[in-house]
Amino acid sequence: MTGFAKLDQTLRAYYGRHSTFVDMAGKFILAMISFFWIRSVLNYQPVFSNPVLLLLLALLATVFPSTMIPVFSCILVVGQASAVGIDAAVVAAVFMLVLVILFLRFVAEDAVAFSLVPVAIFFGFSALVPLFCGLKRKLSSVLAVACGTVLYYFMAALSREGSAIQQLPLSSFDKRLSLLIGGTFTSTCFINVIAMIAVVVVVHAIRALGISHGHLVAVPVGGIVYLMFIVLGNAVLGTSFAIPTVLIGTVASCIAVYLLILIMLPLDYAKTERLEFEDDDYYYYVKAVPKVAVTQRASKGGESEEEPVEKPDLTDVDFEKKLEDSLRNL
Amino acid sequence: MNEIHLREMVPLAMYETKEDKKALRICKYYKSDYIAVQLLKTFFLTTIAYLLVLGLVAAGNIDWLLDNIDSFDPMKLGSILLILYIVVLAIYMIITFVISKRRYEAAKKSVRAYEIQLRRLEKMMKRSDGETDKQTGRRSRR
Repeated sequence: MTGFAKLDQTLRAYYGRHSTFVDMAGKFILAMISFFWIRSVLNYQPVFSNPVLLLLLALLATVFPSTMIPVFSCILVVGQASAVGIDAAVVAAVFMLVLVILFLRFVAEDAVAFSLVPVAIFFGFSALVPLFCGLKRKLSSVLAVACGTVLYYFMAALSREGSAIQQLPLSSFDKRLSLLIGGTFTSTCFINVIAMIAVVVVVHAIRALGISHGHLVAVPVGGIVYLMFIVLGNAVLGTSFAIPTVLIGTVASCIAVYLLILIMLPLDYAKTERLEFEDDDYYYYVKAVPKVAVTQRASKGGESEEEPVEKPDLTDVDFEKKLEDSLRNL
Repeated sequence: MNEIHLREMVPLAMYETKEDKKALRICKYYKSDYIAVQLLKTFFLTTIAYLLVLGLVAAGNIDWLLDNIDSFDPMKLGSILLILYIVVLAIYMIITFVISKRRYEAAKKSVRAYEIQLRRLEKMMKRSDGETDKQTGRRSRR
């Protein structure tokens, strides 16, 4: 673990100094993955499949907050659906609006998960995003994960039934709608949504127990829960998940989550802060660069081990009492 | 320039920069007003979403609806749709109430700590101004 701890310290120090550029690069990469994946799945509308447009949108997403990535993704999906038919575009727009209004507005901070879940499911890493959200995000992220799953099945239905919908006349829009909506809300979608929700809840519950190395236990348990629901779905609802593929994907997701936690996790890293304020005498331009604190303890073998200092949990601290005590001492 | 004051001011400025959009903005409202605004937003958004979904379901089953329109009792259908709307609205209003109440209480706790720190800084600055006045012989206005 010493090597991982040193690497973690190096990454924290690097991120602390260059957080602005790292954040922008991260957003750009996420946006590119999301937008080009939509293009690969729904290649109906040449305008919205143009790589230059997608690159421009990704650059815009870099500058704006990360909540704009799912907004641009929704615009691209609606744009692609417009090539299938005006009714398909309306259904796509209504679908996105309903998801945002009823669910996503409560979890705006997890909006990126909404964009990433469909990509992960497409590449077979279905359990990746729910495992990660259960470990690192609040329990409310379950809404973003569930909505992202439904979005995947909507896009799959649009991709699968797009040609059939285009062949039907516009006057039989109820048949066209049935193909699209019926193709989305299948038993496969239902089981996958339930499985994703269960993974987030179980992993979050294990993490909340506060046991040491809880994440090492939570990740495989979450993977097993996901597999259980998939197997149950095949047995009870007659869904046709390919169990070997799902098994490999779940194991790969667990390994990927471990790697993210151990090595590449800048999400709770402290950033360089740039502040401007004034008092009666001076204007202050302050750049606060975080220190990387390392505690050392001697192991039984005589070599010292480095252990990163964890942030204390301040949720139960009574700040008012502490600061009033300090005021009295002043 | 007083370094001790600066050490107190930097965390306060950092808090204002990070939390300005969240806790400080929330605490500008009274608790009841903040919750009322959130409930009002939920009312309008849920109504819009309900109408959209209803429109989509109706459009998807338009042939069946047109074929069976004579057999519908409009009062019964209207009551079912209204009851469904009230149930959906009630669920979302309750969720919004719980979430906004928790958010307000968390914001209030966070801002209280900030305000106490601010008062502490103010006292420190008044004290150091008083000491400077003693040294320069300047009388302070009371």
